[in-house]
Amino acid sequence: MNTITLLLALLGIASFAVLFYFLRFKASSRQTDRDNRIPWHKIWFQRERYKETKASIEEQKQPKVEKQPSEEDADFKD
Amino acid sequence: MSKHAALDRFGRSGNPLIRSDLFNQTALDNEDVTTLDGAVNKTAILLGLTVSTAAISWNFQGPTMGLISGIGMFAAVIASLATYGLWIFRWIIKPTPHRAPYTAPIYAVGMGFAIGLISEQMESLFPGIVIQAVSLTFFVAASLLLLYKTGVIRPDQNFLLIMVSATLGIFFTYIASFIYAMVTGSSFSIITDTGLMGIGFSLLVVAIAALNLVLDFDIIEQAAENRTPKYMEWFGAMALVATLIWLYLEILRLLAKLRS
Repeated sequence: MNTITLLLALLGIASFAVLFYFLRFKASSRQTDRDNRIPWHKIWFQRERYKETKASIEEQKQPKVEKQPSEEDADFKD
Repeated sequence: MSKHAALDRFGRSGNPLIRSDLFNQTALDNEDVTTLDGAVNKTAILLGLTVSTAAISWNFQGPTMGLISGIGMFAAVIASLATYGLWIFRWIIKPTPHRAPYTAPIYAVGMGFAIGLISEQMESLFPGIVIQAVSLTFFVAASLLLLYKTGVIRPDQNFLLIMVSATLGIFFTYIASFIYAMVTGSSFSIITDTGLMGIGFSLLVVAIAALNLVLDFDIIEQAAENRTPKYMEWFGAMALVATLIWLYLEILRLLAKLRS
């Protein structure tokens, strides 16, 4: 193993440690508190959104059944 | 307790992403949500699986292992498509992140067999190249993580558009080169060339692969921030491992070109 490979191996070990250590920390507010972030939720959850939208449309399409007053309903007088 | 459940749970935020409806829809109990720790652990598990299978592939060379590596790579491609879909053509295959807990280990094992075989062949040609490529991969990843966490690189939708375009451009170049090689027996010279053009192309691909890491960090960060379901830990980890493997292979190719 030559010197360059050895130095790179040490660099690699240090970088591996840094990567797995800092990945656990939350990003700075400079990164998180901004309005132009990528809307990942819209991309990854489109299937769920599609199902929900479809379900709500079908729900709206169903004819509304008017509830008939029954004898058991209380009749409050003014 | 206020009347608004979301305020009790998350506090008031000015972030439009947190205010979105989907954020509330995906919000779950504390035990079932994505955390940064969970994503890191899953990344470590996937990398462990990749390295383990790569070690098997490295040590047991032969036609059988070649076949296993081929099958592994095919399984990895299927696992990727099953999870990420072709979301740029999302009307064809929709992304299904909930499959990630099952597809991510398949991807890691499959790619492990493939990169073990490739690495062994490169190491026999250029001794010491694998250690250098692995070290440089982690160095680039750690550097970009620090740049992301400190907010020096702040990915937005334009960044995403550029990265997707560039990544797809590379993908189609490789596909075209593969088809060309099947027909003529030789691939595009820009990919295999060891001259300035070839090295320049490899540098460009390495840069794009490296910048894709920023998107992976952002996926993990936002998944944890938005209290998405637990399976997003596997999803983010799979994305990160996939990019790390791609970056490693490109650095390996670049180093091989530089040494030739």
